[in-house]
Amino acid sequence: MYPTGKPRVKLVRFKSKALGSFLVYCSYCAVVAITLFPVLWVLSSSLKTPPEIYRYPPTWLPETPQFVNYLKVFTLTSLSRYFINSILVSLFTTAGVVLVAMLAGYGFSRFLFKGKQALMLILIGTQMIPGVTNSITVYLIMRELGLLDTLPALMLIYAAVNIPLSVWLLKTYFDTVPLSLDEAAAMDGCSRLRILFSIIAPVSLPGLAATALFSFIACWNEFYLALVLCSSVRSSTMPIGLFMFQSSYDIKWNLLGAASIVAMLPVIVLFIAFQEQFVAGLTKGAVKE
Amino acid sequence: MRKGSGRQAPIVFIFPAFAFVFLFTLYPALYTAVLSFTDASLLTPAYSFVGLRNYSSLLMGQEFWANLRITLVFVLTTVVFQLVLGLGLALLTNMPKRGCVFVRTVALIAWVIPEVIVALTFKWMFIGDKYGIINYTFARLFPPGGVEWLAHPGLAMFVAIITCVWRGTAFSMVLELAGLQSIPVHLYECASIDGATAVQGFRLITLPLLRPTMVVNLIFITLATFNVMSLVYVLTGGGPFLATEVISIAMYKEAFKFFRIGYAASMAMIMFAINLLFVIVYIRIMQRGAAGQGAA
Repeated sequence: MYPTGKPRVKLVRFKSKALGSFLVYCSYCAVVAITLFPVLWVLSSSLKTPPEIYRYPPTWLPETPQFVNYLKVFTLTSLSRYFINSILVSLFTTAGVVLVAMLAGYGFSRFLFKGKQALMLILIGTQMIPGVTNSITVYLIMRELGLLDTLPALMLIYAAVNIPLSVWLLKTYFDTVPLSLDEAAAMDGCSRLRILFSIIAPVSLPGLAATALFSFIACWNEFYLALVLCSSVRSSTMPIGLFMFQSSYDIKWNLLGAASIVAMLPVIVLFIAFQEQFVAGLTKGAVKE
Repeated sequence: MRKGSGRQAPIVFIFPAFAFVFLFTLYPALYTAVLSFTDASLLTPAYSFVGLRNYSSLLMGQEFWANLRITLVFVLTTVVFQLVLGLGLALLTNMPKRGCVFVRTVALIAWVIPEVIVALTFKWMFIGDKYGIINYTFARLFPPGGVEWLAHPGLAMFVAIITCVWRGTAFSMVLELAGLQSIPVHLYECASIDGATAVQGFRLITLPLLRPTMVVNLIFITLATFNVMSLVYVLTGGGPFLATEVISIAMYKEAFKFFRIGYAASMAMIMFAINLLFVIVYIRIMQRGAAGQGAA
């Protein structure tokens, strides 16, 4: 291919390139293996019988997959209660967050007013207040409101936690929507709210979807505030349910594994379906200034 | 058009968001500050102001410093690994190779699944008896094996760090990938024409241009690890012998196991102050970085 020049150098380069590719693929495999192994180990454990779980040496794959474990975990434990609670909290919170953040995002994107910069800063700044340090007084406030051990307590606090980032995400999204759309609608006599809901929202669906996704996953996964505010069976969400499951005296790892798979499935599916929006939102959320 | 026209003032739009943030974030923060000067308890409704007594007994006592030391060891180790491995992953998956997007997606799965499940899974893998998969493998490689990972103070900390690194590295990868992709390709092309090696390109182009991203990344993961609660609490409960009792777990126990919320609030305020310190350092570095770039 290269009749003149320095064949030896070319040869070395070619060799090292192939070697480089080989090394890159080896590390790709290592990354995939390290990430997936724990998840697959839980999956495998979730399909074993109790004796097989504690067998030595351990079996890598279940001898006969016990799909009945998944049925058992729903019928013998309160998992269905936790699952419904998690769905309710995540959906209601997400709907509320998207609605409130849409209004505020539009307000910050389309209006000029005194103190706008300061208000934006306050909003973003509150994200720097860690949820852990606020938990004591959030508990007292919820007790005062009579909401301890009820789902609305979680909905309210999760909404407050997720609103700042959502406002920021939607503000930056609305900034990319041409102002001429608002102007044309205003000429036709639309009110601001009409403009937002029937003109801007439909063209901002990707931004709204990303915001909803973040909020849903955050609510679905949250553990600490739920531990503080709602830890009875009646009001527990999936993370608390799993935690109480493992602290019971006769812990059944196969059933706990099945419950874990049930709990992580929704977020994995959502993440894979919307990964582009997810990654874009993650990056935008982190490099805000 | 951009100006708020009289009838629908912007306040209508931004009010609900601020109502939430004031009621459930700012007010609790101020309330915590007030509470930290009292002897409030969850058991009795009456309380009185005690001045700085909570703070002084906190700073005089040994537990607080032990918790702080544990937290710093945990944060430093975790952050270094997450940053370096995240950069490595970002470089790897930024290569124009088949499957790079697949690897990114898979790596991020560790970050989206609930923390509780991550902690429970690692507990299950590192469990002390031989049916724990890590112990089984370990015993095969280094007989006789049989290490009680979670019952030994140092090893429990090691497992906590591994768990946190496993979960958090993908976040660093995403941020640094975005940073890498914002570096113009022509810089590398010029360097390559001038005869620079790949290593030189990395040292002289990638690292300096990636610095702002890495600073943002560093602060984010430092804050996240400093405030970590769920992962460690579910994994070890702060034990064995309080060896993994990071400051957030200590605060939680003080408030909701021993019910001394005034005292716990003073711990929260100190945590908050440390958070603030991180943020100030972050802003300083960003400003200096911006000034440096302006001068260059």
